[in-house]
Order: sequence, then C-alpha cells, then structure tokens
Amino acid sequence: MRKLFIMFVLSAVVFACKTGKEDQKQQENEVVTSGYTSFGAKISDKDYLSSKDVLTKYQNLKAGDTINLKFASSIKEVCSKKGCWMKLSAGETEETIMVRFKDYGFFMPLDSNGKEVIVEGKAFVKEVSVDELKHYAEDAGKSKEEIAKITEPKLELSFEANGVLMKK
Amino acid sequence: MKRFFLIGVLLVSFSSCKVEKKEKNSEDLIIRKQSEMAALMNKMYEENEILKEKVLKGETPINFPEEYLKIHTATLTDPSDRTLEFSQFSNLYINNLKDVFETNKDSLKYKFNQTINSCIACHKTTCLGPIPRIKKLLIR
Repeated sequence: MRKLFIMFVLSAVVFACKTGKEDQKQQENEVVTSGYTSFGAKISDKDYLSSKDVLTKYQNLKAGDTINLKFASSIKEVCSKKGCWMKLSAGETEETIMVRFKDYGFFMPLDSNGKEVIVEGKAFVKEVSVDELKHYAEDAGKSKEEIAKITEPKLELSFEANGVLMKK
Repeated sequence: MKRFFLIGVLLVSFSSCKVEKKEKNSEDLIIRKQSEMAALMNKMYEENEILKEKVLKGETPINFPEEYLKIHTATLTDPSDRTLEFSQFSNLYINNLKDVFETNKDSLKYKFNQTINSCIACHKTTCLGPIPRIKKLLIR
C-alpha cells in the first residue's frame, strides 16, 4: 500500500513537470508562428514598406499632408518614463521618425530599444517647437547640458500609429 | 536508504520544475505600470466624455465627483512633476469643473470648455502626449 502511494506521488510529479514543458513548448511555437508581440490595434505582418521607402514618401510630404502607411523599421529610442513615444530609424540615414500612439491608447515596453517593429498608421510632417523638443529630450533621459543645446524648432517626420508589431 | 533515495528523486523533480518557471519570466518585457494619477486621469477622461454629451443636450449635471479631489494626492508616473505649477493647475481644473455643476444652462458649454482648456494648459507644462486626445473633448 505504501509502495503504491509512493508510486502515485512520483507519477503525479513527473506528469506535472511534463505538462509544464508542453505549455512552454506551446508558448515557443506561438513565438515562432507569430514572431511578434502586438500593441494597440491588431495589424498583419504583411504588405509593408521598408524604412528606406518610407523616407522617400516623407520627402514628398508638405506640412499639412497626411498619408496612411505601414512600414518596418527598428527602434532607436523609446520614452524612458512611460514608453509613450518611440523614434524609428529612417533608412540608412541619421534621420528618425517620431511615432506616437493613437489616442495615447497604448505604450511600448521601456526596454524595446533596438527591436524590429512594423507600424501602421498616419504619416505627416510637422514643425516642433523648442519647448516640445526639450520636453521629449527630458523624457528620453537626456542631460541638462544636452537639453540646453536645443534652441531651434525642428521639422519632424511624425507618425501616429494605431497598431505596432514588435519582433520577439 | 530506500527512503532517502525516494526523497532525493522527489527533490530533483520539484527543482527541475522550478527552473523552467524562471526561464519563462526572463522573456518578460518591461512595461510601465499605470500610476495612480494616470488611472485617475483616464477615469476623468471617460466621465468627461459622458459630461460632454450631457452639456450638448443642455442638461445641467448634478453631484460633483468628489473622487476627482484625489488629483491633489495621487502618485504621478514621475513624482517630481508635482510642482507648484501643477498644484495651481489642479486647483484651476477642479474649480472650473465645479462651475460646470453650478452654472446655468446658457453658460454650460463655455464652462465645460474652460475646464477642458485648463487640462490642456496643464499638460503643456508636464505631459504633452495626451493633448490631441484631450482636445477631442472640446465642444466646437
């Protein structure tokens, strides 16, 4: 009877561990199949432009123009306070695209610098005031000296994303 | 001896299960938890959307939500943002909103917009992100 009890306990432990492993495997499979973590509205990982092509689109935009776009890029910088904005690489250049999220409705993880993303939403250009530029520099954790160097408004490549896919 | 062997097997089995759980956690992303103030702001936004509808219908609201007074104490995402300026704007917002609950029908729209404009003015000094969303509350 005692032996039977011990056998039962051992099988229960082995079974529990096996189930755990299967759960993990299933999770890994999800990562492989989707490969992305989704933020905001659900978007697909198909039919998107490269960040180089997007730069050409931006070059043809005038202040006040808005176009719907979907493109892939990598995160250069993310708001260090809340993750409420991110800057994406624009092609091979030093230029960045400032992405904010529709209706302030979702944020990015604070540790997402360098991650590959696909974003879908509205592209436009706008002039950003010195005060606003200083505010975003503060959010990015820049030093007082760096913030003091901001003295002129800047024409910004802006993007309002309704959905983001981030490569795992 | 047999008993020690069994206890050993059980310990090894349990510890191997534990290690797997730790590995799963290492894949987690750092997502900022909503602060007390952010939660309060979101609540106020949703309720101001309802208030806007009432104002548009010309209905004077009743019972000022006392819960909004937590604006003076709720923890901010960045606690250093609770400056003297922030306190002054908080007072302005609360007073403007109280006016909406006390005014006559003719001034409802004006008082409501004044409240929303105080939110925008404050956000211009502390957190720019939600301004486009807040502007949607204004009655044009």
